[in-house]
Amino acid sequence: MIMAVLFTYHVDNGGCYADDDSSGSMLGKPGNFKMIETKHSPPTKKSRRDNNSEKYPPAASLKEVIMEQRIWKEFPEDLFEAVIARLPVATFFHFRLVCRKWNSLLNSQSFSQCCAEVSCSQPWFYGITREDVNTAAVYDPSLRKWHHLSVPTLPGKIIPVTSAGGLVCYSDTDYWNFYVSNPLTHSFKKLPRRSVHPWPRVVVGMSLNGNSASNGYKIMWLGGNGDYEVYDSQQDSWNPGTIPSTISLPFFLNFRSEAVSVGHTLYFMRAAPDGIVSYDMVSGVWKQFSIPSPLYLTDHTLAECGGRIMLVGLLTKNAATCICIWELQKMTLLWKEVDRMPNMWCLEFYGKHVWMTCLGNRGLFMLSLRSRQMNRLVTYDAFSKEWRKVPGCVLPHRRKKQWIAHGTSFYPCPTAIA
Amino acid sequence: MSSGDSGPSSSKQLVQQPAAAGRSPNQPPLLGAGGRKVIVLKSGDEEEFEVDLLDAMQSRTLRRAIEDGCGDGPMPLPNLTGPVLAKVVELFRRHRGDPRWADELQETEKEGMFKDYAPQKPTAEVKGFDREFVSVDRDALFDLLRAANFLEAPGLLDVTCDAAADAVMNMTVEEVREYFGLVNDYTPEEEAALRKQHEWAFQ
Repeated sequence: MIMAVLFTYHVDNGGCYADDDSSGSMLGKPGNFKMIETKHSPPTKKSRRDNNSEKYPPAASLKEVIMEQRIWKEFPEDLFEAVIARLPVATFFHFRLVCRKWNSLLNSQSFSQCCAEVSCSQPWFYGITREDVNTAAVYDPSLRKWHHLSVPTLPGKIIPVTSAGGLVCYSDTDYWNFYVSNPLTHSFKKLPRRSVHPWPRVVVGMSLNGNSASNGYKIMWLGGNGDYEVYDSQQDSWNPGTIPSTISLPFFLNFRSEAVSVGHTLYFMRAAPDGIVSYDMVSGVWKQFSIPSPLYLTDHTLAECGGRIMLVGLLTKNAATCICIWELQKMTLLWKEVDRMPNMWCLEFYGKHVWMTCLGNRGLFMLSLRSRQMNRLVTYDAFSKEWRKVPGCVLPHRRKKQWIAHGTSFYPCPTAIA
Repeated sequence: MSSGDSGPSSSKQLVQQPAAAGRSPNQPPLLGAGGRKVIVLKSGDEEEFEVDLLDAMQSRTLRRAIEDGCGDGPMPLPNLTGPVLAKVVELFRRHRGDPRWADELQETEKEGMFKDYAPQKPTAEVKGFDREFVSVDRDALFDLLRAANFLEAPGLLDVTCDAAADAVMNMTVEEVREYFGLVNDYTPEEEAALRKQHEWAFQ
């Protein structure tokens, strides 16, 4: 009843403004509401936005006045989703305790849409350690913190291989079985078995059909002999394909590098000739680009930043080692050096044999640098060109720093469903 | 609330020039400085604000009303108070050409009204203004959020929702409930189960 008075302003169906007959008494600032006669207000039109009235049945008049002021100061119900979608992901999970309604947002289509609209957060990193295969080590760069998420129990060892739209794709070590899950919510799916006999080693990539996982996704594996298959989540099946004869085979793929996805296109790094092959997941068109590799390049991986193709690699010359970042020049098809790890950090590696593994190659890259008795994790933000050291990953109730054996980066999305 | 002697033309606060009162409904929209079309918005407490038509189009609600021919006389917005509307009008002016709403406008544009208009990225100055705009207390922010919700203005929604998220980000669950006036409707058992389910978020 009170609400009906307070919220009579609205656009009526014709789109024009209608002054309600009670408008004379309702104008003014919140402080004036005590003066409003509330007991016998005529049944006025309700705003289409007003859906709170059922929750606040009429009560004694003093209570009404208090309630009235409270309602006036109330947060607009419609905007909860938009505000919550802007919270950091860990905060969102924490705030599910606020009330049932906030908890139910996980299954809300409109909340999922809100998340897709505002998502500009940094990717997280999903890694598995050798010691504890039942817990994922997930790094949140905004909080600079490792979270330890429990993972569904699976037969044998599975490793994260790629991701898209908040979903992480895993496979067993011989790439026979593939799984997809949202590590935040445990939404989990086992994909059907591949139809083609697996090539011993493959490179895997994943892309979305639309701007979020709700429109479906595609996963592709590519073997060095040119065998490949594409999984389509909407058909829930793998479809094999054949590489056109214009692409030179075999590939000599860089198996240490996850494929990079830009829009619908996947990029794979190859050698002999050095360069990149790309596959358009929608049109099915293959392309190859010959790009000479930088000199003295050892461990390296393909990466992506805002649609640009990048290369992250270890340069080793004499006893000196350095991490370099290159960007692909699309006109000249050359790698152009754009950044290097700070000298002071490189000095640590002087004279040592270093191995580099890239644990995430989207926008923010995570690199694991190891040599005898040394294990460093660093992130490189390709947008801001910032290098950062990552705190050691220590499991709860343990002391020893963990070595992250495999990993991928993913954009955390509470509403993505596998 | 306005006193008895205040007519439509005795506005207390005007952003640009006083709006002409008493025009016939069939007259074309007012022309402001430089021949730009302007409309007049009237707050719940009878304050009038002259707004560039282009700026007003940032609000989907106002745009629908203008397209339906309601933009000829002063447009009453009884649920917005003068001070809130003044802030909103100022934000519209600063967000002119903001791609957050401008792309949508170009798509729906029919009469070539905004043919010279080009979306521009928000400058540092605009971002500074946005920060200042939402540096207000909780109740004032909620006023702006309600205005944004009612006016359906993407730029205004963006700025105010960001501010609300920033405000609660580092709060405890209890403080969040208090901030938004929400009631805990969980049983202690349910609460414990939820904590267990996503233990990592509480570590």
